[in-house]
Amino acid sequence: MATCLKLSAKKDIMEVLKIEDLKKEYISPEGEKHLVIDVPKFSVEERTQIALQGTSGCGKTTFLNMIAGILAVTQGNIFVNGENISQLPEAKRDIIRANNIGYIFQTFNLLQGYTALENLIIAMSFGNYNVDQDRAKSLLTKVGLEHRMHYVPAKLSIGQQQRVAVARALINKPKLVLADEPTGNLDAKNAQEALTLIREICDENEAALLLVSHDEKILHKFNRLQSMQEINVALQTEGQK
Amino acid sequence: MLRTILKVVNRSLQQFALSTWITAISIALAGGLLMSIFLIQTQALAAFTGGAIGFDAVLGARGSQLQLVLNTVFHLETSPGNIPWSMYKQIKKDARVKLAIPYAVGDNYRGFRIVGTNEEIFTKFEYQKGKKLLVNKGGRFFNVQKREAVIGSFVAKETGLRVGSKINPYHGFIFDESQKHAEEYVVTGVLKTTNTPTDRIILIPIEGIFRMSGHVLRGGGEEYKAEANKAIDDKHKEVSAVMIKLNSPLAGFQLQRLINRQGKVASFAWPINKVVADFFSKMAWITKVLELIAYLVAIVAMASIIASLYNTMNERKREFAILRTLGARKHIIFSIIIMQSTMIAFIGSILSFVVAFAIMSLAKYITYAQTGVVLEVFQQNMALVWVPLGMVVLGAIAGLIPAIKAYKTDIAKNLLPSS
Repeated sequence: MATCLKLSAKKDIMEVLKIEDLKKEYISPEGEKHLVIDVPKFSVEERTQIALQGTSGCGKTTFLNMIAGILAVTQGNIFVNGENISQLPEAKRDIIRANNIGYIFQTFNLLQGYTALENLIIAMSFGNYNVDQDRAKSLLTKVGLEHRMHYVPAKLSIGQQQRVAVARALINKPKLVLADEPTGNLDAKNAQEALTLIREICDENEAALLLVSHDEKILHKFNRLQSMQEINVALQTEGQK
Repeated sequence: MLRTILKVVNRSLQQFALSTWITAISIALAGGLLMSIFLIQTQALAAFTGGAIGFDAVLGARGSQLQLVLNTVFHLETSPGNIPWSMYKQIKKDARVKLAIPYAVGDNYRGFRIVGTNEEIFTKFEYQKGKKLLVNKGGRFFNVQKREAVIGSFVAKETGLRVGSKINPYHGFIFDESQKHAEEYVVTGVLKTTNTPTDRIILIPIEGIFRMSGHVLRGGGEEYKAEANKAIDDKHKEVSAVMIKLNSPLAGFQLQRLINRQGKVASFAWPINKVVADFFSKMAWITKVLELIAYLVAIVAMASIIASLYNTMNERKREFAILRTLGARKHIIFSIIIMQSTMIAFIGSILSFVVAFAIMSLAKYITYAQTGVVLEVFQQNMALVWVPLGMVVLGAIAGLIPAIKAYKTDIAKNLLPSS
């Protein structure tokens, strides 16, 4: 079975992300099973940029966390760069995440006690590449933080913190960048700038981008736009009920 | 990877500096206490049983040999009584005895013992091989015909007495102003420091003790009071003890049999170090209790590591979740906590040497002031290796519980926001 899945993945090598029959169930305090994610098929090709529209509570963070290997799936397959991560133990998923996936959060999730540069270097140390200070510095320069490299997040503005998060997501040259409401904490001007930056930097680093948001202004910038409602059958079933 | 772990550990130690230092200090106290106990235990035994005593045996009144040794060698305890002068003369003549020096005690000056003796204490007695008592420049030994005194270096330091100072002895071993003797003695010399109990005493001619106002001699069985300008017949004289250097260990064995088993008047304490060692073995339970207390302190210190780290786990859940998101494996998070607790224990272990130094310095001063026995602040001792190492290992073990908690951190639940 595993061999079969691997062969299938190799055939679709152009897809950095491929999802088949993905399901995630939660058990309620009453002991009832709740299907929150049911995605029969979904894929992201190399160097493409996709926006996923989703309202609050539609399971978009759960969906991204499963793709990142942070959450275990209940059923189904997730291929990241050809590797079926849903079949792998947690430790292997961690390695794949470190090397293949960059994750940008709405709340940035920067390490608070560390400078911008250290945030990048620590992320780099978990990946396959040797720690390369020059690359970290050049990425920070690229996002406009050449004079703020040695600042801790608390000393940076919200917009600057988001830029550190963007640079950190790209530090290990991932094939796929996941962005969960990346502009949710920014004002309109900063949101546009951040979006442009994320898209540009993903492009330059040849990384595909899967961005989820509920902000129409952001979503309409993307050529490929899908809604969670559309890909998550569990939401459709919920709606029918 | 190790650099990252160390960086995170270092930053966490700084971030929680107060709890880091408090925990490290509690470990330092436990480690320092343990090291000090072992150092004092081994050194005290070595110093009291094998230190610079200079004599092999003590001849004194019938009774406890330990009391005799403590009274005459270490100038502690009360005198068990006196023996007649004739016994001193007899043992002095014995061919098996190399040196016999009479001691007469019973007076003090401001709590420092006054020992009446003869000039042989200066001319023949060696407190260590080849080392005789010497006086500092400008001083001299006493003249046995005069009321003169030679004082130990510690006495000089504590009382401020110098050559030329005049002192009046006080009756008894405990200083009581009402017990002042009328006789006045002139200090003729201050002894060079010997680091032995001699540093704490005042030496005067033994004749002075015999003639001290209020002293009564019972050497002949009847009470006799010395009279001025009249020689004291030997039959009235008595001594507290005779300090003896033997020609051979066999002599000690023979004299012990002769005096202790056959005689009924005197005790022959030999060998001195064995008498003290027996005492130490009887008192071993005290050090066992102290060890137990120190081990308990060590356990409390380890518990403080667990508590301080465990309490920070809630604050650090998000940090761990972020690190995991960046690709840190669970075992790395686990290692960070273990390394952190080990580092706290390591800092504590380094500081424990400072604590041990402070305790030992204090112990050294008190022991010297009370007994004249000198302890080394730091002496080669395996406890100086295994105590700090043990603390570090225990520190690592103490990190296990918080490390397991960190290991189990749920990434998704601790990353915000969640939709």
